[in-house]
Amino acid sequence: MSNSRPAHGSPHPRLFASVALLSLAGLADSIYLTVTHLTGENAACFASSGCSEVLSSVYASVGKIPLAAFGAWGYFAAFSCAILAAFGYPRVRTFLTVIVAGMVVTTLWLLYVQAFVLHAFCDFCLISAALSLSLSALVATSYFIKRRHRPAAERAVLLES
Amino acid sequence: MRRYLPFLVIGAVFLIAIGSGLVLWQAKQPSSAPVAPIPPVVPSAPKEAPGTPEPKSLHVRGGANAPVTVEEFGDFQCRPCAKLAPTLLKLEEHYGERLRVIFRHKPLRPHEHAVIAACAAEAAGLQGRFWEMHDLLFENWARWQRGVDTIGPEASPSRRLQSNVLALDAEVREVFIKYAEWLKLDLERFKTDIDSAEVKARIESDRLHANSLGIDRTPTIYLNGRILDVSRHGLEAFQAAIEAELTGKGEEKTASSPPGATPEQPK
Repeated sequence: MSNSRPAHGSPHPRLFASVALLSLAGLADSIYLTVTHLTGENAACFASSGCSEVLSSVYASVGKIPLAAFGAWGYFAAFSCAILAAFGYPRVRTFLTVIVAGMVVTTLWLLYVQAFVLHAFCDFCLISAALSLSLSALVATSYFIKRRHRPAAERAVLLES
Repeated sequence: MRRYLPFLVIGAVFLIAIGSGLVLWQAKQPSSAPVAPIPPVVPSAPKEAPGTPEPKSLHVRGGANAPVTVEEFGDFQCRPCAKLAPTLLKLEEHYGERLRVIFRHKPLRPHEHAVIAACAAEAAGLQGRFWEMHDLLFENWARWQRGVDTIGPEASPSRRLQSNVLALDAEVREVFIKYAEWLKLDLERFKTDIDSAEVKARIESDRLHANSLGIDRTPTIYLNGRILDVSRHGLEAFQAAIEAELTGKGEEKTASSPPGATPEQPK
């Protein structure tokens, strides 16, 4: 069968379920930041003191659209791909990889801006950075596991036939 | 059923995300979450365009007939505003009577001490020392919000100054009283004025005016009535924008105009 869904489901559903859970956390973070931005407020920091400086800077929006809104869509897309991958749709892993790679690049850029341009850090941005870096680690792990277990899986298919 | 389960999960999460966003939006509407303890007052001129002085309560310094007006909507607890302050001072020194600077309050909600700082500046203003207190507050931005009552760059850093812990409202108030003492203000009057309805009404008037212009961040700068991109507010960029206004090229350089703005023409 050559459809996108394998007969035996995902090879590591727990890993993709973890990706989905982390994406949900990122989605919640991004929604909070988006709404806070759109209502004209600034998020209150709980650990650092630079939230308002970061979130009221020009780097916090693209035109009139808050950057966090793009983050929310990114996390939602990552969540959707992870759920589909967990349910055994292998082709979405490529999309998941592309999305997470884009998020990591954006995260690194925003960390640079916070550290060297604004000289201020925002808790919610740091949480998002930690989540997207964790997502990238999990997605990279899925490829590693896939490569290590492929010969064993192929052997199992040969034995079955 | 299992075939459709992932799509059902994705759809459910999408709906929950939209729903929670809307609930959060409702919860964050200003009418449902008043934070600043300011009595509501009717703004004196809500449709007033940036760059148009309101003689009664507006804080202006520089040339009365200056061809260039810089109007700042600022928050005393905002770090970018504090960073901008020395740049503006240098520009005022450089241009003298050719530049007029206006300051309006836009205390942001997450800044715990922004309103009391604005009240301190206004209370000093009632004794004719608004700008002195304004400069003192921005110059010592990192100190007063942590309850440290030393001033100037030579002041020795304390452990509290290096921490991220903000001072209590009462501690900040004590620092402001100290500042008032340094400015040789009438302290009893300052202590009364800092909590007065008049001072709070002035701040609220500025805040409502900022809201009517759709201003949601600080510092927001208007140059001759047109918004200036504050990401390029280094001395050179600011100077270039002012020079462009002085030579009559401001119309070409500025990016966007706020609704209702009536830009002044260079004289």
